[in-house]
Amino acid sequence: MGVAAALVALPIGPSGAVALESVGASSLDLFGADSGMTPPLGACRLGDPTYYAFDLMPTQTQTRFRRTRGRATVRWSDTPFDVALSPDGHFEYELRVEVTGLSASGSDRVLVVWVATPDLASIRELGALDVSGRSSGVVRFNKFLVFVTVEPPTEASRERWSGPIVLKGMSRSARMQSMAAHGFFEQEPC
Amino acid sequence: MPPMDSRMPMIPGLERARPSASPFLPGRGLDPAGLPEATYREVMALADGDTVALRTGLVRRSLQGRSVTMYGFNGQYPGPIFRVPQDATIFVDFRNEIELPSTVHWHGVRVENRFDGVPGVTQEPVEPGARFLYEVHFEDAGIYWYHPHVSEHLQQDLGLYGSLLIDPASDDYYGPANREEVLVLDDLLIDDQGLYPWGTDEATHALMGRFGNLMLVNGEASWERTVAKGEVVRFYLTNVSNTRTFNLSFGGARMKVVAADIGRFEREAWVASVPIAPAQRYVVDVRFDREGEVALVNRIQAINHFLGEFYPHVDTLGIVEVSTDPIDPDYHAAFETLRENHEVQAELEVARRHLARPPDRELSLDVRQRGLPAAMVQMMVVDTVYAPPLELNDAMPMMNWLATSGEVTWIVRDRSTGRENMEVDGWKFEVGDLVKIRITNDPTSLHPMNHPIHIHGQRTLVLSRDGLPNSNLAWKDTVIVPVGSSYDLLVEMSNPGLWMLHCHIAEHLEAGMMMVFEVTGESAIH
Repeated sequence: MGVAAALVALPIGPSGAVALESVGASSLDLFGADSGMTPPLGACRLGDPTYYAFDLMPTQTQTRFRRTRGRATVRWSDTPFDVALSPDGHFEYELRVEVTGLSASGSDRVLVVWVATPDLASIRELGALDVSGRSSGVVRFNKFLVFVTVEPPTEASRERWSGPIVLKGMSRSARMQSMAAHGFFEQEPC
Repeated sequence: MPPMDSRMPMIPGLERARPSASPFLPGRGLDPAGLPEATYREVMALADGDTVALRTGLVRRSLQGRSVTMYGFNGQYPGPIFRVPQDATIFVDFRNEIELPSTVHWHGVRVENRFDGVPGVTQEPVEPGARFLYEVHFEDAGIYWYHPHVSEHLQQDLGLYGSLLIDPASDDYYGPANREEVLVLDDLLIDDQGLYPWGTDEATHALMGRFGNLMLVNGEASWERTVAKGEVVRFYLTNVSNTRTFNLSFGGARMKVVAADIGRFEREAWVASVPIAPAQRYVVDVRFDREGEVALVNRIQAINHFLGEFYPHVDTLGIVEVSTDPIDPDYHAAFETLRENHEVQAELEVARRHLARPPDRELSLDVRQRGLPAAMVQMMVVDTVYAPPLELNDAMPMMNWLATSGEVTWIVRDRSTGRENMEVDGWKFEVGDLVKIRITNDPTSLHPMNHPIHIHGQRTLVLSRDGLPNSNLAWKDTVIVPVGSSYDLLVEMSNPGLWMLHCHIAEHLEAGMMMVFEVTGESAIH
């Protein structure tokens, strides 16, 4: 029996409707105003514009950057419409990365932000962090990963990183695996 | 069981479940062969003071080789186009000859309140066999549409919609184009038996709205046009579907967006596709500079929530055949120039002064359910880790079909009072007010979804999206508020009366997602 089947082994009445009291909940009005139940732990505050934002965490091997943290925020890219879609229907986001806790790295290296599909089949340079630790650019991936790497400075665009990865993170959409597995990710921070 | 994408698995426990709503098909017991066959819409050029008859009725349509009973205005599909000069007033003698009460709403048109077509707010429903005389004044140029405001989920879906093309007073309002095309986009849910039944007393598909599986352009499943090479075509686009947001493009043909619902943008812009939600309109100019076939397509990244994956999906809505004949006159040079609309910029300069100030009112968008099958509720509770900002496909067709407006309540909530939907009160404004409304689409609700919010009777600007100022303003009446977003709107109160604010997903409207606000004072437009 799959996970989904185990979750729903409940008797169904003639109309197909079953009161959720049969599985112990006090109300079918889950998370509604009068339910008294709390939203999932991973939920954001109402009005918080960071539902699609995510953290960038340091890699364990780069101890020099262990105090470094990053935050990626996602908003619609500029568009005359209400939402920005690419011609093939990808959401078009303005991804802004902000990194804190950087130590002086010297002038011979820069930190570069990359975005990639989860299978790494498509990798694109978003840009180097500026002196404030910020970079931004447009992303057109359904699910994506963000990496920050140490690179030699160059005027030319880079096709692929060469230096070590110091921060990594993944879009909220990348948490979506199978419906039955979603619950495991609910404890993730907002 | 509704027609479903074979990728979508059946949720255990729902195999025998049926919606609580009674199934509805029009003209029950009538042989479609005895009904008049619907004819393609006509264009009616009307002048100031003209009176026109508009009648709902049963019609016979042939779709995918099947004969089905639908509704039509004046026996046509879609309803007739009323082509009217800006600033004109027409009179519409409406007669309702379907089996349900109905009205006509003049979507986006700043009509006098008593002619807005909202039952229980601006008029009583027009009962079967009864009439109502509408007086419709067209203050603004552009593309608008009309539809019932009673049981929209089935009356509109069954064919009761038509376009209003308002010619601008100024010859220079738009750039030059070789031809104009009014395209009405829709989808219809069918199965082997024909039309898939709607709900009578309650709407089915109350979670995501009723997605169709047959795409229609101007009511036809195969729309085709032939144009000359180099021809600039002005498309007046309207999405009349119940819930589908389209992402339109014409192959690789160059396209620029000129105007939105109620007016031109501050500046024209090149676009690669047009995301258009239910009830929205856009005016786009397209130049076809390569001979051969160009497909009008809806391209999306669909979602399968069960497998947790996106997948590309393309609907071909029509074909434009570009001939080898050169076009005369050739508007290539004018087309390549993006116009700055200085008068629009000057008019909207005052609006930007409201960017930094706090909103006057705040609404949140939410949902509540009571009585859905437990198997569904449990799936919804589990499926919370990611809600896409837009639902572009029916990602849960069985659950969606089972959910009716009897169990699901979609909510527009006044954040200052906690009051919901028609219980919201105290929204009183004066003509001349510029009211800043922040609408937040709650991503933590049980089933968050994008909502095209329609504001009746007034003009609205999208000032900012998630705190980022909008760089290219245009007057609108319907705005998509995606999941997790806060959009700041500026509503110009110009038209007195009691007006609706509601979601234009037809099933969400049936499920209660509407409120009323009041504007007092002397009209600024009539």
